[in-house]
Amino acid sequence: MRKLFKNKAALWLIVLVIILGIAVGILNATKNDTTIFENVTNIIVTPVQKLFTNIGHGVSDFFGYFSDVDKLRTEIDALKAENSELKKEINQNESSRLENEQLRKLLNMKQGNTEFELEAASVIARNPSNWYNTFTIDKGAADGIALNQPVVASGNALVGRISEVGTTWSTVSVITDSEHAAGAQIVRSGEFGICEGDSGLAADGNLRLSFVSKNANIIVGDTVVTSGLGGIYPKGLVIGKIYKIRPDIQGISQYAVITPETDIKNLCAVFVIKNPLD
Amino acid sequence: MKVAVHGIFLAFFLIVQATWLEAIAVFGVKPNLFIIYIVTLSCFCSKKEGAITGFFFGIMLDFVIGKALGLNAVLLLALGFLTAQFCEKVIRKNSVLIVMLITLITSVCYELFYYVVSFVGDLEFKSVFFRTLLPECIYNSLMTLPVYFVIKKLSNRLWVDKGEIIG
Repeated sequence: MRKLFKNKAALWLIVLVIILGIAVGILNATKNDTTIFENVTNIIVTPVQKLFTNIGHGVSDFFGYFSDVDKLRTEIDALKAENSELKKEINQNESSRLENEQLRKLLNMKQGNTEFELEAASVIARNPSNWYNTFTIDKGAADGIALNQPVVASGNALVGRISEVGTTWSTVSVITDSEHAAGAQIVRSGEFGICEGDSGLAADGNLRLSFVSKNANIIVGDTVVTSGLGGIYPKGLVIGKIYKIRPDIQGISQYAVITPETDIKNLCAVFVIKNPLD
Repeated sequence: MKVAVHGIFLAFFLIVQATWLEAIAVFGVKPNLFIIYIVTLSCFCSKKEGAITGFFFGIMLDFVIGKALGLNAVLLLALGFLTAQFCEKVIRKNSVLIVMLITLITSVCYELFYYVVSFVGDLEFKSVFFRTLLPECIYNSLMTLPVYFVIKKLSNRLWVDKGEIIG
């Protein structure tokens, strides 16, 4: 080991790395803009990543098919029996279906007036590092995507926000990321809090509801939505359900563990809200 | 020829690290192919080559991660240089176990430095250490096994000048 440090170049390199590393860390702490090099690299890389992601899904579906073959055989028999029963029921339910269809049309019309302007996007890559919970989507500035636009899954379930925008790609910082925070409200009681990513909880796919007073009216199973405070997220996007309630270290407040409404790790497609605060 | 080989590995890692590696993540932690490649390569090549390759792999990784631009470049440069120096001066005859051990140690240094520069004060160390840092370092060490044999095979053709230190 002494031989290693006999060479002054090695020692100088270590010193240089420490200085440069700290400088880079400080300079990038508030970085929001995408550099031209990042943009060009990702424009080239993202189409190939998209291809690889699709191949990956194909391979996993293929092997999944073979592993499930026995299970499927028994399921087919059960389904055949169920099928004949259902055919009888279909005839009986025809009138109900027509009524349902009409109601659905009315509901869609109503939603059409108040819904957000959504841009559908595919998830093409995850962050290569274990330090960040972000993923890349195949839509960018060319599709009208802008910084901080909220990202949701079906059912207006909050996924995160746009944290970086390239020409044909964007990065989504997900709600479980440690750099992510959003104003939150409990639907049942109206209590407010801050929903934030926590490195300890992120591994299980959960996040934290902080700044909840000790006497706040919260129970396990409560639904948590965005409060609309903070200027990024509109009110009412579903964050998730309370899974655990714990006292804070100081004992003057408490925090809750939230299980997100959507399975973020296995998302394939999302929607970007292009007019969140209209 | 060497540049082409590094280029192919770089392109492959940039794609796979962000896509297919998710499928082999253990407890949400995936290995870092960039560290594994640079460390293993540096056990077979010169300090200069280890440092330059480390820098280019790092800067490209920074572009894709999109955070702390330059940090991976600086860290992988240092990792490449120091590993090559260590293998040249201290270890006369490397073996897969030694390279796995070097990967484990360098991964710990790399991830600790990354934590100190980017997350200290924001993330609780104990949770980061046991949930991310330690599993990733062990995973990196294990994944060195296949990478070692690929690079060893290639080294016979590409790095013959340092053939005497190959175990």
